[in-house]
Amino acid sequence: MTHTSTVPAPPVSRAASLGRRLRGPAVFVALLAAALLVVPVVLEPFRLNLLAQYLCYAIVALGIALAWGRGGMLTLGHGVYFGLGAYAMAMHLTLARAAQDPLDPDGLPSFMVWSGLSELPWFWVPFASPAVAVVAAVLVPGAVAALLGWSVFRQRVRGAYFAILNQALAAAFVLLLVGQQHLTGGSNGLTDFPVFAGHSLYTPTAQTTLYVLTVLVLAGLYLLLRHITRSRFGTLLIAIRDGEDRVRHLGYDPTWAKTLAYALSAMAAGIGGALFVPIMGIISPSLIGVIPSIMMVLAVAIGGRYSLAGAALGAVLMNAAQTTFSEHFAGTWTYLQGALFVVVIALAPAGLAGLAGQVRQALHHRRAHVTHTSHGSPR
Amino acid sequence: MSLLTIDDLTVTFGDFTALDHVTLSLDEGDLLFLIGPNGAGKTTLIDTITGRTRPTSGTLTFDGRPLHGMAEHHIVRAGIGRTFQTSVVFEHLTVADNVDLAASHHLRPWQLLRRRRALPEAVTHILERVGLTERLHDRAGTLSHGQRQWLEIAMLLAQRPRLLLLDEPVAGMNTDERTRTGELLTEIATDHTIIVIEHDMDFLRRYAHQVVVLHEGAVLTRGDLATVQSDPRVQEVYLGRTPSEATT
Ligand SMILES: Nc1ncnc2c1ncn2[C@@H]1O[C@H](COP(=O)(O)OP(=O)(O)O)[C@@H](O)[C@H]1O
Ligand SMILES: [Mg+2]
Repeated sequence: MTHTSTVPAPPVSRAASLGRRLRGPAVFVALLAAALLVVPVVLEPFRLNLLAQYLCYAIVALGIALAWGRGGMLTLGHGVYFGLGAYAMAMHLTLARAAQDPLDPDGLPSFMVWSGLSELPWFWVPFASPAVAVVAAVLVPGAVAALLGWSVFRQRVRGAYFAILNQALAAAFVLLLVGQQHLTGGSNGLTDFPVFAGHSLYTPTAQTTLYVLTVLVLAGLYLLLRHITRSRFGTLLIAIRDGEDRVRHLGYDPTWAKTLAYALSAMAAGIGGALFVPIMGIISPSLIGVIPSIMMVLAVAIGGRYSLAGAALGAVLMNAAQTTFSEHFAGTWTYLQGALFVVVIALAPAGLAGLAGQVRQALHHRRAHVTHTSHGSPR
Repeated sequence: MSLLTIDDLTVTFGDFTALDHVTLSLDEGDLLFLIGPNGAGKTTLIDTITGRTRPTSGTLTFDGRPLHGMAEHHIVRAGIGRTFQTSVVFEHLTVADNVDLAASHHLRPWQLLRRRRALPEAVTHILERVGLTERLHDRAGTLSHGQRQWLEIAMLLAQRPRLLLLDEPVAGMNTDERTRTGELLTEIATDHTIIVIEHDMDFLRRYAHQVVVLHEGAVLTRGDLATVQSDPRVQEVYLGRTPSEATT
């Protein structure tokens, strides 16, 4: 029995290996079916709405897992990209409301009227179209991230400098939004969104539809990013994370690869933000600044930054915990989160997903051990 | 025709001159051993050829093209590959992925994003050549010291370079591993141009034909091993000791 480790593991039968290969897809389909068919029936509308909000953050988390977990880019400013997506959608919803408002024949949002504007600012005009808003919610974050990423990655800015730069971006974005009240709604943000493309958003059906849409987007994005992480590009990202300079001497330019991963991750955040707005009913600078940006990364750290599923789960759990705890002891929750972050980074850098993997491995070893004993004892 | 020409190359770090007016040329098919005491500037020379360090003055020409100002990855694509003194592999990737990545640098971005099928034949062939086929699916981090160095050589071969620069490929290897590496080198040298930094005397005796001695950043002498060894200046540099005693 002392030689267990030197004995080669028994060959895995083809059926067993097929079974293992099908387990992932089976879990995925089961989860998706439950989310689409069971959850909307059993949860009351208020809870369903909360869950839909968490899932928006899960979409953001997938993107962070790609950029940070795979590519090693500590993106501490994803609130900006979430915000760009959210504001793109909110601007359209605000215009849609104003267009309906019988008291306001010009279609000018009321906060602009109070600020003394008599005409819609030029960059608001295209957002009257829902299609423009949806496209912009994805492309604007992508373009901003691509521009920023390309210019800093080219200069070989990375690590803590990149993280701080992201934080500064989040702080500057909030200052801009608050300072330009007549254009952005200031610190109040934008709120009250009754219609989208002619449909009321205040009905239970609309909210269920939004929930279903969010689940589908999350599932689709998960599959897309899973494909990307399994391609050679995914391997390249890990290599860049672990040794950017070495990668250059393999014949690759890390700049474009990092820029692409960062931009994709920003686009995911934009999509999350755009879905969040009609679900939550408000977007304001306080939801997208420095602290929310850190919280987005924190959730991914806790769920497991190396695992897409772990990151998404982390976002749902952390936001659910936030709701629960802040209802009861608001102040303590912030400290608890900070403590949790330290514990995870120190003891379980791979997060919950990493712990789950360790448990699975331990069980596997035990099983192999037991099999071996039963074979070995008669001899 | 000369494949690599180094002309009057000087590299300084602040006040310190790491390479001092080095002039050296290499013909297609050459296998050159670069020796010299620690701190002589051997690694700096490789760093400068591969774009990691910028020359202070002087020129580098590869296959008729000046290397000046080229980014590291463009130098690799031009056909110059290297290994590192402290073998650097990607520990979280499998052995196969390390080599596959090295073999794929010519792919366009959208090709890198495509679904991956079986390992390319070239990759399995190279892994066989360096004797790592059995470790194919293991993480590179689990390899022994010697195996890591072979993996790095495999990654280098996968890049299909014309000029290979190896920085102390047998350092820390045991006798058997050195012999295997020496044979591998000899085999690769039949259709590649190679510069090897190595100062293990025994290894040099068995595999070295042309030797260049670098000392305090300058080329001291060049010739076959016996000539170089009997050169009084070389003996003086190594303070009367053999190169293998003077280093490590
Ligand atoms: N990036 C650098 N900055 C400052 N000094 C350096 C740098 N790289 C190498 N050196 C110095 O240059 C000298 C030559 O180093 P190196 O080329 O590594 O020698 P070796 O012949 O042992 O490979 C050493 O004294 C080293 O300290
Ligand atoms: Mg050296």
